[in-house]
Amino acid sequence: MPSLSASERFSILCEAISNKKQDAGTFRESLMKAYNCWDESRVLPLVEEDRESSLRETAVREKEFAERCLSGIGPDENEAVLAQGDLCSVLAKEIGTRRETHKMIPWLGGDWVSMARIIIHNADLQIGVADGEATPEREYRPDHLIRVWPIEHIAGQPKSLPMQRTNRINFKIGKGAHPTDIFVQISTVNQKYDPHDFSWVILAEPPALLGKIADQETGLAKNLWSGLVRDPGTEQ
Amino acid sequence: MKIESQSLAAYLFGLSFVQQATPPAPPEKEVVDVWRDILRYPGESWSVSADGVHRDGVLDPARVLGRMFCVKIDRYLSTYLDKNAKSDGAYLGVRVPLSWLLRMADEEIWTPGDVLTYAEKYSGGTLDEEIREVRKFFPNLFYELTEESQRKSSIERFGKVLAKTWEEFGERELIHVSAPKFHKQWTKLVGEDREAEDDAVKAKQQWSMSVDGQFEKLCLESRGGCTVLQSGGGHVLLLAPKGEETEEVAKKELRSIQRRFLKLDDRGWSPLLWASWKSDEDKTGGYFDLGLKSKSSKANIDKVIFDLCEKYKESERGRYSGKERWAFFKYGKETFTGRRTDKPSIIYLDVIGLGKHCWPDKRNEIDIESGNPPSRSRKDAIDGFVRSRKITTVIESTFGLVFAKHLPERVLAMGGDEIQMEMDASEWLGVVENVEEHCKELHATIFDEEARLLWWAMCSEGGQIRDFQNLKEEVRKRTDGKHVALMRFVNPMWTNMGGLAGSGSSNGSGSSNGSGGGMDDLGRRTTAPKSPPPGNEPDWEAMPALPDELFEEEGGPESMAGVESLDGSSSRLTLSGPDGGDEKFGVTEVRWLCRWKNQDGSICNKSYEVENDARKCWCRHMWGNKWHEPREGIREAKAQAIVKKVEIEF
Repeated sequence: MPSLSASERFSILCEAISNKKQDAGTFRESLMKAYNCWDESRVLPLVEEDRESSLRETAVREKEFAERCLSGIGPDENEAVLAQGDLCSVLAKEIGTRRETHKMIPWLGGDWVSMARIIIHNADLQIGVADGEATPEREYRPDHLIRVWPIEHIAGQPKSLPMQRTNRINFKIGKGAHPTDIFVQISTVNQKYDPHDFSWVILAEPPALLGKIADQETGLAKNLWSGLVRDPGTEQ
Repeated sequence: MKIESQSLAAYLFGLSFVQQATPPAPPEKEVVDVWRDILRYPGESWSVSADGVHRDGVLDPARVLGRMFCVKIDRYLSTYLDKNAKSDGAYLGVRVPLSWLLRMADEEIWTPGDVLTYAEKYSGGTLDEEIREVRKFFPNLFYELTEESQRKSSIERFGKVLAKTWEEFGERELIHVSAPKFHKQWTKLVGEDREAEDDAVKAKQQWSMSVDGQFEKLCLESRGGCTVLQSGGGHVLLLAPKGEETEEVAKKELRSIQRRFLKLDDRGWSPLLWASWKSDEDKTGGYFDLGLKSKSSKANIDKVIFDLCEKYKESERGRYSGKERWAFFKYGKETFTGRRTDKPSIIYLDVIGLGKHCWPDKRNEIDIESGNPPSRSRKDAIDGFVRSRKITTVIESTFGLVFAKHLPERVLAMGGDEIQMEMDASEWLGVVENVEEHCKELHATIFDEEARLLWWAMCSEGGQIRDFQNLKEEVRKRTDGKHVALMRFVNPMWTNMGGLAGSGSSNGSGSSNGSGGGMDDLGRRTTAPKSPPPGNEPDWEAMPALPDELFEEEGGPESMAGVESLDGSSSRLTLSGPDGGDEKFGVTEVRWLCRWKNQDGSICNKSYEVENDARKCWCRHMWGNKWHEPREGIREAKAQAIVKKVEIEF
């Protein structure tokens, strides 16, 4: 499979997260693609029955792995650094112990706890009904989870803040999918890049939750975001 | 109550350390003294008590919040002080924390009210909340500062104080004094074997919790004419008296500190002490050191350990009161509600690379190895102490947060950069998430450094946390900012990943030529897999990361898992490089296997590079984590272990 661009992978991830109806297998495929893990995915059996059994086994394994991470036991050295062929690899990328050809920039900014919970939920959807109780469908939103966003453009003019040598700028992010505004602080001196050079932004919180650590008036502190000139997954 | 600098005034008020007069009235002396201490960046053992009796409060919340307030003042006032502040029409260009200048200035020429009024005026509204709280709970601090004209005059007056002290600061030399290499010095003091014993472990914990406060106290008691500008984490910044030879001052100070360390509690020993200085004009600078001084007899070492253990017992109440005081800071909704009590564990938090972050050593390897103190430029020393005060605030408030939200059963150790607590294992995730959120808030408010991985967080169920430096190093390399962009603050370190530490340092750096790790940068296996931890054998066949065409073997499909080869049978593994080419073949790797037989009949088979480690693994299975106690039996225990040497050919 030809490698996907960062924008394509971002769109796949947004779609997977937004689409409540996506079945567990498709959701797994989407995440594997979004995290550049598609090449390592297992080939599923052609026979329907075997296929279901394989998907279930994978879900059980993924769930056990994610629960182990959340409980403090964690991955072993192989799971931490080697390709696993399933969402365990995605989780290892959020943990940060997996590597990519270029600098790895995981979509949730390293929020492995959220990813582990997503994986457990997806496994529950796959494994199915337990004690007759259906697993609730996904209730995720990209702007509540993703921390690496493409920048559409800078809106308006920079605003000078009372803090010395600091401006506030407004990035329009999302490029069509889930567009939103974010306000960030930027230093007016000694900056390597003009903010117009940035094509992606990495945030300390997903856009919808930025209100926890910033307000629109002053914007997100300079040390809680960074800009990328080039696409994630390429040489930085 | 939330752990933030805005809570300081309310917290102090709640301590009821003084009955304040109804305003308007001059402030009580106790109130002024407390706020002076706070604005001067509270010392290591500073605390406020309702009954006026000073106790060495463990992690006193007033001190922690006071330091947070100072660091916030630094963040939002420093640019003004450097670029805009004027006195008598001249720019001051102040480039050090305000608290240092307050420590230098005579108490008669400034009041806390002056400082707060000045900070409020020039911080662009960023300190308004804190100062509003001070005004609410301690209104008399602003006595005669309510009229605009009074405020103006106070600001002008304080501007002159700044100008005078800043000028004097430039005329006096800085001396950096420290009690470095804590762990190594302790080992040197008690010896490697004795160090591992339980009472020595406890003694070290006591030493780690008390050394910084004692060191600061000895510096403050010095009569050499130096001003203590800041202390923390075993580092003290002294401002030498004007007109005296810096080297002589430094030697005198260090000898005096050593003398008093020897006398302190009749202990008869003093740690390694360093002093260094370098003026702007002096290119070479200078240093002076006094080595560890102690009587090395066994009886004396036993006495040192016994005395510290006694102190540890005595300080039990202090450690407990720390927990009590932080209980006020439970705040917000806890998402974590699954507290259980069936999995006792040790939860460990440790700052990642604190020493290197605050005190980077720019010397070459030979100079570092010499053991001499680094001689930092005046600017580097200032920058180091500024970094130290900021990160210290983050560390202490994080420990406070853990106390407030998780109430550890026992605090086993709490040094400058780490804390070990007995807790239920089910608390671990809550600790990770709470620390993460806290650090994020601190970065948004008081801590101006770039977001980075700050903390190691580890949970060890039923075991002790000791030697895991190698694991840390490997995970640190893996998650280094050069390879991964992570926007989080806590780096989980799982004991389950122990094998990563044994995989050889070359592996962690991502080199595909690693001798033992067997995987390249991208997680593709390049050498034979190591045995997994007991009871957690991965399903090798279910690992598509290792494409079949890259994995040729002679001797049947069962050796896919490497088991046959690892068992030393005749089958040989042959591996191809990720691109199908032969990279590093013909190499024979020697491993040692632990041959412990599990209850289900399976063999542990965990592999090690050295025989001793495999034997220790077997002993842990046989006698548990404390198998090495009593120490006299170690040799016999290891001799019983069943291990196997295997050679893997590539």
